[in-house]
Amino acid sequence: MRKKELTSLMITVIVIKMLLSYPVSAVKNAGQAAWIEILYASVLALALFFITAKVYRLKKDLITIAETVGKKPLKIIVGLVIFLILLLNFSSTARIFPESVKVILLQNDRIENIIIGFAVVTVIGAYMGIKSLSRVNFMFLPVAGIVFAGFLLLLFPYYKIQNIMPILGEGAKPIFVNGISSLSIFSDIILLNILMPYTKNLNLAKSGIKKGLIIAAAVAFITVLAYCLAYEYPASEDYMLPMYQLMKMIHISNFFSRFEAFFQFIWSILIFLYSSIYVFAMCAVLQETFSLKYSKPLIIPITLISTAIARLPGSVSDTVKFTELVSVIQVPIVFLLPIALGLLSLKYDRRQQ
Amino acid sequence: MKYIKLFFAAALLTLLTSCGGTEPNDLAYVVGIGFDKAESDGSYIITIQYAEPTKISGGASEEGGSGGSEIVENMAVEAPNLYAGLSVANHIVSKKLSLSHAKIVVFSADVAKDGISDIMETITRNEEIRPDIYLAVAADSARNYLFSVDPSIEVNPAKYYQLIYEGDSTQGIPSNSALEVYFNYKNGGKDNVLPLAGITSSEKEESESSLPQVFNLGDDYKEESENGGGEEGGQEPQNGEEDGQQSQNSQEMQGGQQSQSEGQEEESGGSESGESGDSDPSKEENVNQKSAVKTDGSFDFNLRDYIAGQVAVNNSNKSESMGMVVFKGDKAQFITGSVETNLYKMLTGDFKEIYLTVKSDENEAVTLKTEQERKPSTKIDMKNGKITISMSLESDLYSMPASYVSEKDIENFEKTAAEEITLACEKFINDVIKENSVDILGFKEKAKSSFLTNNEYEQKRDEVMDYEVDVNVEFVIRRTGLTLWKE
Repeated sequence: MRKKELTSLMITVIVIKMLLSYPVSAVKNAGQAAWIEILYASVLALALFFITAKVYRLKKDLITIAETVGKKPLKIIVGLVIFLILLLNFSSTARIFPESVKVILLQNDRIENIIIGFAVVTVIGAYMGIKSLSRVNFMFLPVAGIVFAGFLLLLFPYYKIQNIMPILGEGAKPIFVNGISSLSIFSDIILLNILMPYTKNLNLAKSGIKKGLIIAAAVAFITVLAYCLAYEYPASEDYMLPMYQLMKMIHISNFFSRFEAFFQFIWSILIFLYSSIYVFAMCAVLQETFSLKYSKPLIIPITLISTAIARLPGSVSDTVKFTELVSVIQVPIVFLLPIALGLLSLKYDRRQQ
Repeated sequence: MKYIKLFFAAALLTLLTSCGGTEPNDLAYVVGIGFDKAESDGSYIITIQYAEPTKISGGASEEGGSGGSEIVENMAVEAPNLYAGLSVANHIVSKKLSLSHAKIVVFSADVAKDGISDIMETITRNEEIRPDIYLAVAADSARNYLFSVDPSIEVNPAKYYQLIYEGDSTQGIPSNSALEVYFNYKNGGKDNVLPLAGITSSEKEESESSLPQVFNLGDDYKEESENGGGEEGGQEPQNGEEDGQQSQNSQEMQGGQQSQSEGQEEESGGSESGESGDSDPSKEENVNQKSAVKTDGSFDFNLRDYIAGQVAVNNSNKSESMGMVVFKGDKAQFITGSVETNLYKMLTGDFKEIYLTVKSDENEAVTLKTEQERKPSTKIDMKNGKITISMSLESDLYSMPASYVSEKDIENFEKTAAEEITLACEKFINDVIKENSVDILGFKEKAKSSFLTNNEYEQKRDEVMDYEVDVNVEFVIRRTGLTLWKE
């Protein structure tokens, strides 16, 4: 993978959450100050990334480092923890996306059929491999970016500065204390760690991820700010798909409206790319954890398990609550595990020398 | 392998080139929806107005569409909510009713008085209904209003509602969108106003509403017109009509459903009478037109303070929209007339242009095409408890008495007009907003920036309504049409 492809992967996996229900979760926590929360979480994520980059000096993924430091038991534990985090992350998307498609696009179709369609596309994408996926993603992301930027500009007449007042919304505590859980939107950084062996060298990977992180944070900030400016709080916490709601607002004069159709296209392609990358990464984690020769035979079982888990919550609101709970648990693991293992590997290297 | 790929490509080409789900030909596009209270508790009489595709321009019609009442069909059913209503209605109409082109939702006065939050939740939750769909309150019955719509010069029913309710160039009705109304009632900041829809009638009582009308300018002038021999005889606030015409309408619809043919009969009756202009127009004259009070002050001088149902003297299209219904939360409180609505639009910056008639020193009407250069600015001084609204109006002189206004008088005229507009605005704020404690100008919302957190804001926001309000109007006459000042 080239640096640009790694950067574009980073952007896609983080921005996807903005296209689902994340902005509403932030609004529920901080009110109209959700944009400050995302800014704060972005700064924290960047700081944590710089710390990780300092202690992480090997072009190896976390599982390999765990094996070096703690032999097979630690490798299996770390591998399973990472697999679980990826599985939970993916399962929530695998539930919310088909449900959203049913609500806004295919009202008359059975949800099972939509999930099967989603799973089939995911499996095909994962079979193509990370190189194909990253290239397609690299080609498609600029198109999505241009469309997205155009929409944000078209929303300009709907932005009201009063909607983000009072400036601290629900108060400083929800933003700066509870808002730490917003770091979860950057939790996909662990996915890129798994894909690190597919990059050319460590510095390239670090710089690619850093760039991706900054761009993704900027996109996330702009998205949440746009939502807060256009949708007044507390009505803004009522919606399941904030980006879709924003697109639905747009109309140019009396002639052009229903721009959400473009959004649905961009949104679907990005989510298919995201899902395929995730399934591929999950297979790579299991392959490495259990030292398997091939990873491709795992694609179908993992996709089936993920979609089955995705069906466990009784309703979409339960899924959203479950995702919020998962995000609280995964934040310390995702950000502290690489730092801890990086430090251990440094200590181990010194001992070896 | 190559042939297998080709086979799949060909299969995709043939299988994916069709409409998924429902064919457009199998859909009936709803244009308007009306909600009236039904006799049974918790139910509504839901009027569904849908486009007649064979008659509208661009539809199956090869001759450019017919226009008038033929372009829509109406039906009314009884149901507890919109979807239950659509479900019942789909047993009557062969095509599936689609809400994706719905343009207007009309609430009856009784429904609006009881609260529209349940209906608004349904509208907001729906993925088909656009967020910018127009909302209106019918002076009496939503069903009567929708059945009376007869847009004789329109070939597209959606276009008719768009042009009527778009608002920024239409005098006397406020602009609105469902999403904004939902935000306002949900957030508890600004109170909503919705356009008032009504029908003209040759019998006085038919257009009366169960909502009281609140006057500001009209109140003072009522006495004058009574004393001064005005033929109108003033206008009494129309409250106390609790069940009024509404229940009468509901009774008419016992049995739950109003068949399409019945509706058509009623409608065609209206059209016939309207079209019989060559026989005797006075027979179909709108008697309620004269009930509207004629304003005697300088602002909107010599115009009647109309509400819907009073505007047309004679017209084949019985439906009209004029005035506004003021809400507190999700419940309608009272009606104001066209003059107050114009003041409201001016104070919110909600108009492009308006033909403003101002009284000259010689008691004659001078009409100016007035534009608002920029939206009025509202500053809230929390410390001194004062609200200052500043607005800038620019006018073109359009009509004046032949003997009036010379170049030297124009500056005095500008000053007088600015003073009169200021007085009218202040009177509107005191009589309509303060007296009734309705925040339709969004003072509370504008005070948000003075606080740091929602908690602080929620504790103090209601105090804003007691603040003193100052209105500053800058009024200039820029152009004089195609003629210059007279010497």
